[in-house]
Amino acid sequence: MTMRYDPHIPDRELVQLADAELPAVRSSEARVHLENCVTCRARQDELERARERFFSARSEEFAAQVPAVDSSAALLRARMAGLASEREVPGFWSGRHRAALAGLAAILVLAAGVAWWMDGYRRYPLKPDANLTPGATLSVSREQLCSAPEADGLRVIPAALAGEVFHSYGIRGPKPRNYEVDYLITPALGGATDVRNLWPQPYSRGAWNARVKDALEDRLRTLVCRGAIDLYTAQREISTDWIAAYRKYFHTGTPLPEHARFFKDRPWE
Amino acid sequence: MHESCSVFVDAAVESGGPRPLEDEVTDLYLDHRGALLRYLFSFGLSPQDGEEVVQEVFLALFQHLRKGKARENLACGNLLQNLPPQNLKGWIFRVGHNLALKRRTQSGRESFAANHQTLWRNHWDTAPGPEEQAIDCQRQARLLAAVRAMPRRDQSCLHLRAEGLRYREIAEALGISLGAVALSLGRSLARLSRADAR
Repeated sequence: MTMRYDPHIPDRELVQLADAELPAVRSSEARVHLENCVTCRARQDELERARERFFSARSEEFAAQVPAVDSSAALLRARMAGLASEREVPGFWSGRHRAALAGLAAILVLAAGVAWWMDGYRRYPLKPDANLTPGATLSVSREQLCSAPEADGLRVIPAALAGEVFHSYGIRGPKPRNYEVDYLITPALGGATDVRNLWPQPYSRGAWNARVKDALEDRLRTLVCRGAIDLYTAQREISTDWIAAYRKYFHTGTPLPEHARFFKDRPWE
Repeated sequence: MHESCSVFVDAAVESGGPRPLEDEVTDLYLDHRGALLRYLFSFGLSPQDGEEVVQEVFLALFQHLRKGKARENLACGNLLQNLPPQNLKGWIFRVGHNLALKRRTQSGRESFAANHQTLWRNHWDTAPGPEEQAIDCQRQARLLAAVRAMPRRDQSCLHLRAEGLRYREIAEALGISLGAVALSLGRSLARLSRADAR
């Protein structure tokens, strides 16, 4: 029996290559092969198209099912505090007293946790309040935007306007360099310098912070200028849910490590 | 130093000392909750059940870190000294995966399958009229049906990849080899491309 030789790259390796999971040597060989093989390039496109469509369908199906974070983080903190306090109760407490004390502590901590969470959520929003910051755009075309030099980092939000933004979010005495008064829709995508398009985005609020959003803004502008997506889509996606847009366009569930220190826009000071 | 390790160390240095464990776990919860919930939905769990499982996962993480079960990385901050940072995401999804399977077994597969079908039917029924959107909806239905017809392990690999996990993290979450992850994803995407082309 003779084995039939298939000169093309197998599906598994095409997928590994797209995922940057193919060993370096094989990856180089595959890239050289792809440059010269129309069949493999077409197959790679098919696989990537199927992947994108499945990810998009999945995202649409599940996104609406994720409950708002609201009090769930506070509940977790209360339960952690309850677990921690169980250990700290002195040994002379009987089982009944100990249970009652733990229950009382849990209730108090839950109340404090909810208050803490609500305060933190108000002061350090991961996403802008859609009522305060719905987004606002200028009437410009893709060609106008893409032919102009990108100058986000040089833009300075007038102090009075920044003050108005902080005031609208109930932030009193914000610490300099802790926030970026950020455009919801970046001027690089046609966003306007308008209080409806600005919000105080913290640098310190977990992984989804201002630096990560800056990386998304760059990515979207590149895609728009390449013609991969239209300007309206980019504006809509970044203003509706920038975290979902980041996940979609960087193919990742969490921010990429290099974006944690991405620097583009100036901090507020 | 590992990237995620240095982030925690930087945070500790900036704040003048190690942060309380509750803060570290809450930050991890905020970072991973959405992805873990979506993964749990792929088992057919309801939003309420999914939320409960996520809470259990992070309480287990909190307990695990408090007890200091695996002191493998002493170079990192107070949280990561108890858990190798490169395995953190894999660990979270592994515990979530196991709890979801347990919950599914306890409640019976049928009710979960029905729940999953209902979710999709709702999505389908609410699709608006234009022809292009109808075609998109049909395509999405084909792709999701193709995934549901796959073996559970292939489904898990795909859903975990969709949440941005690297192959090493998927292998850790499912307790399989890197090669098995690559084979599974290659096979699954080939099936998806066939469903997409129909």
